[in-house]
Amino acid sequence: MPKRPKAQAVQPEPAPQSSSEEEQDEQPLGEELDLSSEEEFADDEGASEEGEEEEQSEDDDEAAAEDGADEDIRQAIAEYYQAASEQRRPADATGNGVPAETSGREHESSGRPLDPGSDSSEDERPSRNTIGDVPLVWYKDEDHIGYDAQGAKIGKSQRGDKLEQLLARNDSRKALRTIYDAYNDEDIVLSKEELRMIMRIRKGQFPHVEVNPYEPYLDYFSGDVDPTPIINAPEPKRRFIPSKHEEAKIVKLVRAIRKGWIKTGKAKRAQQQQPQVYLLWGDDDQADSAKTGSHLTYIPPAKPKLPGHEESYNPPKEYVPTEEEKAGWELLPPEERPGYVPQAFECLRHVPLYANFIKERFERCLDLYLCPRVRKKRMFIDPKTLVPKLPKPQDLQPFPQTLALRFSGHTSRVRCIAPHPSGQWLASGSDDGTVRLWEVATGRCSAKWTLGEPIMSVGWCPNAALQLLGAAVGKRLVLLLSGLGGEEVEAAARAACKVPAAAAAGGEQQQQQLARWESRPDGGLELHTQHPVRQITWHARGDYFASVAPTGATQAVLVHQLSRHSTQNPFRKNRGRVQRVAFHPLKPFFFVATQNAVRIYNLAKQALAKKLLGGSGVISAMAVHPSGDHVIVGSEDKRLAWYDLDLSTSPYKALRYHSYAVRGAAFHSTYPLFASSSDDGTAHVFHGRVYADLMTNPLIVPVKILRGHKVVDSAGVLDCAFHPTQPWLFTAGADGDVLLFCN
Amino acid sequence: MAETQVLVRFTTRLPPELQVPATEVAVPASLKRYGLSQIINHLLALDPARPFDFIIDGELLRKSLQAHLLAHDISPELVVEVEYVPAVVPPEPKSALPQDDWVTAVAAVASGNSLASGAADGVVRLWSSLGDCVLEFTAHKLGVNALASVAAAAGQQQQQQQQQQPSLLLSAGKDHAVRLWQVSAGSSMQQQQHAGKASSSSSSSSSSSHAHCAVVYKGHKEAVQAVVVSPAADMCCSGGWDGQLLLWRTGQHVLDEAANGSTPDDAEDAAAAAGTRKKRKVAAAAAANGTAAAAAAPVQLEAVAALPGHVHCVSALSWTEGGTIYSGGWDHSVRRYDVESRTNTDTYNGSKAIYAVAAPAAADGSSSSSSSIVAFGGADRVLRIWDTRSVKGEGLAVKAYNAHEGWISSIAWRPGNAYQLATAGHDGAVKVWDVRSGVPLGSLAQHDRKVLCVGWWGAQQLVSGGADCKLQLYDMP
Repeated sequence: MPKRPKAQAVQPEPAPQSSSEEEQDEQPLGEELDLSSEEEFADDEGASEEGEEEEQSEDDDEAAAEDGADEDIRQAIAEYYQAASEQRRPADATGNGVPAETSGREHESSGRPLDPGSDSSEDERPSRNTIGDVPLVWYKDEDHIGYDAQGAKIGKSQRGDKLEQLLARNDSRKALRTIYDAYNDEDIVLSKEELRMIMRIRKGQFPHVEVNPYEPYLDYFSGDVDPTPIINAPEPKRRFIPSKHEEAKIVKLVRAIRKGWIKTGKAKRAQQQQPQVYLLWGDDDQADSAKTGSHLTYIPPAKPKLPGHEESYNPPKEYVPTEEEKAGWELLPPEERPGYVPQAFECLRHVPLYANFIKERFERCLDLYLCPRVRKKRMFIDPKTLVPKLPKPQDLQPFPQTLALRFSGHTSRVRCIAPHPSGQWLASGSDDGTVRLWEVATGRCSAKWTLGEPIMSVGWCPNAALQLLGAAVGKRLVLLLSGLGGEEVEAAARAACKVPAAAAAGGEQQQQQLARWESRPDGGLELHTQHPVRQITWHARGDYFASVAPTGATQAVLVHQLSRHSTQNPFRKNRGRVQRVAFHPLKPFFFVATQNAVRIYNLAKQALAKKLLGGSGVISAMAVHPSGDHVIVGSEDKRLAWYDLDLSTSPYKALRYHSYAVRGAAFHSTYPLFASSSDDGTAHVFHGRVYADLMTNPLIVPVKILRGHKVVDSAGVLDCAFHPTQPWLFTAGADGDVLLFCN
Repeated sequence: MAETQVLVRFTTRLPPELQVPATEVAVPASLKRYGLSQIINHLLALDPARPFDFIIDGELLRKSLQAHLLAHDISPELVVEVEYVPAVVPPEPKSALPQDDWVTAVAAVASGNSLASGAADGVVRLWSSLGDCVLEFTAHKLGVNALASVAAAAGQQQQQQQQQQPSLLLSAGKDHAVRLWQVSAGSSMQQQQHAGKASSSSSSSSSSSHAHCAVVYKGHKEAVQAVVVSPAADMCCSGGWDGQLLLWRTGQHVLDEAANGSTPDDAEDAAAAAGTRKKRKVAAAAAANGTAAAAAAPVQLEAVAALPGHVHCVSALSWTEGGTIYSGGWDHSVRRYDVESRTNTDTYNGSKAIYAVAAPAAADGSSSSSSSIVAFGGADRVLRIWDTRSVKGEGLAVKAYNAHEGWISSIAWRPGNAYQLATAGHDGAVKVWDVRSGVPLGSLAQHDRKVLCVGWWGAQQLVSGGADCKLQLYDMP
């Protein structure tokens, strides 16, 4: 009977549908399968006959004692146990689960029913010895074989000598079935069932008779389409498209093959057949070139200088410096002295320890590991090419450049300025409660009105026949007679500002709530509103003017008519806090800037025409281009945004040049200029050319930063305004001065 | 090493006793005007020595001879013609007259040896040569922008001096008005006027010093920035913020015609229409004085003509011999007008607003032709000299000198001199220039704030007024 290892012994005897792959490979055809199965069945029959024979022999125990088969059995049992002890000892040092049935019968101490049909390790009887997988030789000279679970020594059993054993074997009927377990130092008597199992294993059959290798085959994955599938998801797209990952991998491989880094076919075979040799004493260069094959940017480390004649322990005379030379070196500064001075010695024994050895090694190591070994790829881009092509500021003159005049007089921060439409005068309002009128050409303060509260806004009435100056003071709107016109103008202005008694006293209740019109003793006009007014702005014709009271909620925006002395509230509801308003210079449109958006209303249709989206900051300034098609909006997030109304509701350009909140913004009425002023104490001037051609976008070029104001209490330049005819900029500062910058 | 020598020939237009022989002289090239002046003095054997200035090709020598020749690309191997003139002594500050308000205009009154100054509060004051205020009257409601003195016509001059006729003064103000004033400052009453200065707000109360508004020029709709009188003293021209350049008739003959032609009723109406209380008060006071001229109410005159061209404020004017008006404005242009044809004959277009324009009235007394040279400045630090004789198409011959640290507010040409002019700047400096040199002859920093006006009182005295409420006088022999 051929000896087979246990793993192969599990091979089923009929084996036509065995799971063993070897047999499946060997039986590719159905016919052969059938034939072999018949043969196997024949074998099976033979086996069963043998089993019957065994049963018969075991029935008459005594008679079969001398049977030749018994020798076979003993030998098989011995082999089996040897193999079993070798394999199972690591687990729990049990001999086998199967013989435990018999040993369990003999040793009642284990006290555990064992399932004879199972060979699972769970059913195995625990061994009484606990020494583990150690060579038993260690206990050879001891009087115990090991320790039990409680830690008590297990004494060696008193086994007789060889003669006694022989006699006992001859005496006992079970001697043939008895084997010795050296680990536990005990004899184990195998039952007949176990013997049969062993015989089946030796024949290459299943150990247990009841194992049915032909269980009905349950097909988990079949080609049949289930009408009611468990998962009805459609096939994902990735099943049908080539994998990009694989493609990238293939590209890599193709590239490597093309470059010759990977060899295939004939070349690979040729390479494999070449002997793998390398130059033992080869230069480092070859190793480096090998590295560069896969690592293109590799920089080989700097090589140390090879020793030459001067490093010899006994160099030729010409290398050894003379005393004069040494003296000369001594005079040199340390960094210019030669690092190594050759010395001559009689023999190697006289050579002293090299003093710089450690230092040089250390430096070499530093050099090797600190020096970058990979060449960095750097893009050489001319920074000029990245800058957008903009004309030079010099070519965009004129624009305000130099500080020309300083209008000094206000004692507190100047909040607002308004140049007279003729360009001869400038009005300014300050926190000191005064409105001042300046002559632009000389810088002289020619008039001053004290209004008590901080002036939030000033604005000239565009009607030249009246020469009125409007100012927003506290909850009042004040129209002042500037006195700049002649007598007729003065008279006309007085007449315009004279509120009829009926209008002052009576009127609708509604109007009373909005604003109360009153004449001033000096001939001007005063409007008392419900809320603090922040801005006054005039319509281009000079009859209407609008006021903004941010805290006014529903009465935030009021539009006043000078000729009728009437006030109306055009917006029942304002979406957000209104910051600024402006009239369109040409068309009946009205711009309302709330904290984060600018809404443009069509006054003729009484409808919202457009909404410009703001940025993150609160809108603090707004100016409308003289053409009315462009708006600049300054916000407290340091941004000045240019909106092209024909283009989009988002900014055409956002100019972030200020370092603090933007306070004022202004367009020039004739020159292509606009400016912004900020709390950082500067005013920025931009060239903003607008083309009549609809296809060309506006050209915006920052041209100048104007400095001159001091930052007081973190407030810088609070307002800016252009001269109506000259390319000059007025700026109002928190330091109480108004500056004029001219070209 | 031998010094470079330059052959020069000295020429001059001075009288014969100051002329050197017209021979070529080799002088060291490193000589400056001091060295050359020593040579001339040596050649003429002058005692005491007189300083001279030297002109090479119409340019004053301010560097060494060599540097000058190099800079002007003149070959040092040729004979260099050097003209010498007596050196100009820089002006000396004389006295300062304190004022109540900013001094915005000065003008020498043609007759009567007095000086008129206009202030930003609308008051015009007359000063005697001794530095006393002889007359003070409110000419304008807002501020005086310009003053111009109307010289008596040649025929009337004798008569005027004999009869102690009042001199005529034109004033332009921010209240849109141009007015012609008859001012008479009695020299005999100077002391009295001086003594009662504190209470002299109604200056007309003094018996002989009075001012009377004789003519009101109606036409400007905005502030009038400049007014100028023709050399013949029969016309005047004004320009203002409405962009108009208007020509008016002026002078004694206008008053005479009005006195002959107008009836008392008209005068009453005119007085009633004239409006302001101040003027009425002046008129009434003048009437109380009993002089025939003062009794007449202001004559209202319309413009003779308007000169087209300027589109923005006309800020400066200058009228020269030969009927040429130069005007400068905020539209960055300097225009040359021919009064006869009333056309704009030439235009210089710059890039800055023009505040001041000045042209020499006549070149060295020869009143044959109009001056072709005009100096102007403005919202800029640069004094520009434009030679209008340049041929069209070749570009304008404009010289630019860096004159001031601020805007140039006023320019005044020295009377009787074709080359010298004074400029005033917002940097507080008054400078005297020779147009042949880029270096000022003298720089005067008597004002500590903006200087707003500069003028000549005769040919020997310079006057400037500014934002520091000071009228400063300078001597310039």
